[in-house]
Amino acid sequence: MTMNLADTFIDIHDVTVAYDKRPVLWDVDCQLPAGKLIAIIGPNGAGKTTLLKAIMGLVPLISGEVRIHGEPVDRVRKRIAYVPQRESVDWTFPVNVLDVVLMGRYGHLPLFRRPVQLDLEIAHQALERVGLKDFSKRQISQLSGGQQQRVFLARALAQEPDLYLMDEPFSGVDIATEDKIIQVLEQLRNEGKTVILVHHDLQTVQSRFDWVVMVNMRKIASGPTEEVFTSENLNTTFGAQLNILSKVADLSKQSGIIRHNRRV
Amino acid sequence: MVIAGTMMVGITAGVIGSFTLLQRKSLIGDGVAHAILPGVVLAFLITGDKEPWVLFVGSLAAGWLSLWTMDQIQRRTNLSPDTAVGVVLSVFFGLGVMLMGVVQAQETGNQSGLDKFLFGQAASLLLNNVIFLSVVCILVLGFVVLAYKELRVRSFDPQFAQSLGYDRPLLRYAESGLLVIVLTTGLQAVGVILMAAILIIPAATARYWTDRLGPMLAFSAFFGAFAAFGGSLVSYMAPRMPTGPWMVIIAAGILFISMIFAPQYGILSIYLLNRTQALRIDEEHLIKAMWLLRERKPDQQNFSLAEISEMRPTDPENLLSTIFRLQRRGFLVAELSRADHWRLTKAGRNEARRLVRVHRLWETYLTQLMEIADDHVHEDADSMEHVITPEIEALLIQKLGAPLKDPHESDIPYDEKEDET
Repeated sequence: MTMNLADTFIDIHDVTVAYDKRPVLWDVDCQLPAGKLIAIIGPNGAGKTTLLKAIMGLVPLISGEVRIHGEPVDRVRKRIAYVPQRESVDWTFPVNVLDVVLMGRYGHLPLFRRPVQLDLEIAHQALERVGLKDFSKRQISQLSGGQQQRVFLARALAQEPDLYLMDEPFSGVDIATEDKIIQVLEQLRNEGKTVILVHHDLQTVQSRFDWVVMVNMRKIASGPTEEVFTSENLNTTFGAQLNILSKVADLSKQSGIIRHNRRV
Repeated sequence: MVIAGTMMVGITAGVIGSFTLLQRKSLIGDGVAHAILPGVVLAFLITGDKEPWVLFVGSLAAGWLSLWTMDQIQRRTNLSPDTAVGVVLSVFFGLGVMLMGVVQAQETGNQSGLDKFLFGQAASLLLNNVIFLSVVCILVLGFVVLAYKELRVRSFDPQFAQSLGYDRPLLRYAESGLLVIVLTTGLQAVGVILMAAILIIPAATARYWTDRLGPMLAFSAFFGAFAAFGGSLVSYMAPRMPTGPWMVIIAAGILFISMIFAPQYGILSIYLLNRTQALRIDEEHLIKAMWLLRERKPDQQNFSLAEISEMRPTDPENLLSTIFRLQRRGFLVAELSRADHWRLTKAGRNEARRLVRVHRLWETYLTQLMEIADDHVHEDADSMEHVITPEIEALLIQKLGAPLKDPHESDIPYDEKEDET
C-alpha cells in the first residue's frame, strides 16, 4: 500500500476541511498514483465531495495542503478538469450544448479572450466522443439527465487535462450513458490520464476501479482495489462507529474554535 | 438628449439585469437599489454639491456597504439570505429617508430636488448628468463585452468557474460592482424605489423570447430601452409625471404580452400545443376503434357512426369532427353507397395496426416483465400508446421476443403484407 514517492501524482497531506466551523474531513493523508481510475467511496455526508473539492482547491483548508506533481493546485489548474454534480447547475439556463462544452476551453484562453476555430473543433470532437454529436445546437433543458451528464463529460474532455475530478458522474443516468461514460473513462486511463471520481455504487467498484479511497470523515483506506476493498474496511467505512468524531465536530461548531488559515 | 440618457440606462440595466436574474439575485438587486439612497443624501449633505460624480461616489459607497452587510449577516448569523436582504433594504432606505428629512429642515426653501431620487424625474436631468450617465453606461457595457465568457460561465456553473480560477477578487468585485453602478445610474431617471424593476423585468421578458444568452442580452437591452423611452417621453410631455413608475408599467406591459404570446413558452402556445395533442389523441383512439371493429366483424369493412361510437363512446359532435380530420389526413374514407359509413384507408389501417400493436406490446410488457396484474394494464396502455416511439417499440419487441398474443389473448398485429384490399 505504500508507494514510492516518485509514483505519487497527487499528495494530500494532513488535510482538514470544515464547513461553518464544523469539521467534515479530519487530517486526511493519502498519495494517489497517476494513470488510474480512482473511486472515492463512503456513506452520505462522509466528506467525499469535500475531498474532491479540496483536491481542486475549491474549499478553504483548515490545515494541510494538496500538491499535484509537487505543485500547488493554482499552478496546474489548466491540467485539471473539475466536473461538479449535475444537480449543482440550473439546466434551464439559456445556453445550448455547444456553449457548455466550449466553456471547457475557457481555461486555455487568456482572460477576456473569446474561443477561436480550434476551440470549436475540440468541442465538437469532445461531443462526438460522448455520443452527442448531433446535439450541439440543443437547448440544455431539453436533454435527459444522462445526456446532461455526458455534456459535462464532454466539457471536461474539451479541457484536455491530465487529471479528471468528477463528482458522482453516474448519479441518475441511464444505462446507455453509464456504459458510454465508463468506456470513455477507460480510454482516458489507457491514454495515461488520471480519473478520480466520487462513487456511490459499491457493486461496481471492483470491476471498474483500479484504486479506491475510502472515507468517512477521515481516511479509512487508500490503495489498489484488490488490496483495500475488503469487508473489514467496508465495515469501518459504513459502520456506525463515528459517534465521537461527529460529536466533537458538533462541539467545535458550537464553540467556534476553528479559524480558517487561508481563504480560497 | 435627456431621452437618450435614460435609454442608455435602460439598455445597461437590461444587460446587467439578465445576469442578475440568471444568478437568482433579483432580490439582492432590489435591496441594493433601495440602500443607495442614504449614500446619495449623505454625499449631498457633506459636500453641499449636486455634481453627478459626487452623488455617484456616495451611492456607490452605500451600495457596496449594503452588499457587504448582507454578506456578513448571512455568514455570521443564523438569518436566512432573504431575511438579510429584507433587513438591509429597509434599514438603509429608512436611514435615507431620515437623512432627506434633515436636508429639508436644513435648506429651508431650497429646492434641493433630492426627492426626485425616490421615483425619478427624467426631465430633471441636466446635460452634464446625461453625459456622465452615458460615459458610465458605455464603460459598463464595454466591460460586459470584454468579460462576456467569464460572466457567462460564472452565472451558469459557479463551481466550474471557480475550478478555472475565475473566482479572483478582481472578477468578483467587478461583478458586484457592475450591479451597484447600474443601479446608481438609474438614480435620477428612475428613482431608487423602482430601479430593481428596470433591472429585472426586461430580463425576465427577454427569457421568453430566446434560449441563448447573447440574444437574451440583446432582447433585454431593447425592452429596457423601449421602457425608458416611453417613460421619459411621458414625463417630458407632462412634467408632473414621475418617470420611474411609467417605465415600470411599460416594461410590465411588454412582460405581460410576452407571457401570453411568446412562442414556445407563452401561455397561448402552450395551450395550442396541448390542444393539438388532445386532438391527435382523439384521432388515434378513433382509428384504433375502427381496427377493433374490423377484428370483431372480420367480414365487414364499413362501419356506421353508431357502431363507432359504441366502440369509443364520446359526444357526437367531437366524433364527427374527429372523423372529418381523419378524412383530411387520408386515414378514413366515407362509403358513398351508404350514408354515415366510413372505412379505414390503407394508410389508416397501417396507423391503426401500429397503435394496436404498441398498445398490446405495452400491456404484455407490463404483465410479463413488470409483473403487473393483467386487469390493471389497459388504462395505462391506452395513454402510453400515444407516446411510445418506434425506438421503444423495437426495444419492446426485442425484449419480449415478438409475442403473437397479448395478455388478453388478442392478436398482436405485425405484418402489413397480409392486408391487401
